[in-house]
Amino acid sequence: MISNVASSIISRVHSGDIYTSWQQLDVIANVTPTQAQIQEPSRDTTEPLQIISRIVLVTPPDGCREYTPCAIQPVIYAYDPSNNIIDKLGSTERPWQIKATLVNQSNVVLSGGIANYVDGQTRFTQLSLNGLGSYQIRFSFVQPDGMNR
Amino acid sequence: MINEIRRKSSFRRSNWQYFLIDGNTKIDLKMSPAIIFGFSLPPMNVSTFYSGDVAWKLAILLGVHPSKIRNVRIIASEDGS
Repeated sequence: MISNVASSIISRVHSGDIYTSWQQLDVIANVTPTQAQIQEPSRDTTEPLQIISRIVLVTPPDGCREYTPCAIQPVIYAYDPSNNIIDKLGSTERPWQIKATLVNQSNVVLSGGIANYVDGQTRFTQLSLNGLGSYQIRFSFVQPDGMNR
Repeated sequence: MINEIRRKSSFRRSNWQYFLIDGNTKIDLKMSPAIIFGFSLPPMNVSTFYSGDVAWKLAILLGVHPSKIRNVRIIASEDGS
């Protein structure tokens, strides 16, 4: 039930875009926020909203056979600028997602190749490859709400 | 009785809500998609905070109509400044 506006604000904090806009607007003279927080609907607690600094493939997929989910599913962590693992991206209702595509075929998502980022990592469970051979896989964010890129 | 019901019912941002009702009470519960969003800012003078058109700029920043920027709560610093 989270609104599109709220989802967009969350995404812009993660990307750092909202801080850039804050400075451009000079919202409060020479003052820049140090941290953003959010309390989602029906929740009692406030959580930090972190800027994404980098994402790391900590466990590459392995044990992949034709048309069968890889025995080892990939795991990706997102880190903030202080090198902390980011626990949540997006909202509980609309988590950010990471997609797995082939290099040079970014419009083709692999089977089982979209996973939500929750509890500090991606949750792939069904990623599989469709044939024999060697593959180069690219992991990237699905364009989240409110973002143009 | 109506005033007693309103006074003893509690509404919190939680998965649980509590109501005091009698046999004639009708309750309409509406859930809002609102989020509480905050920025951590360093301590500053009230005059600094209001040095520009803060409400209008916040509205542009957040992508909402300026009429949506409504409430300000100013918390005094611990040393009384």
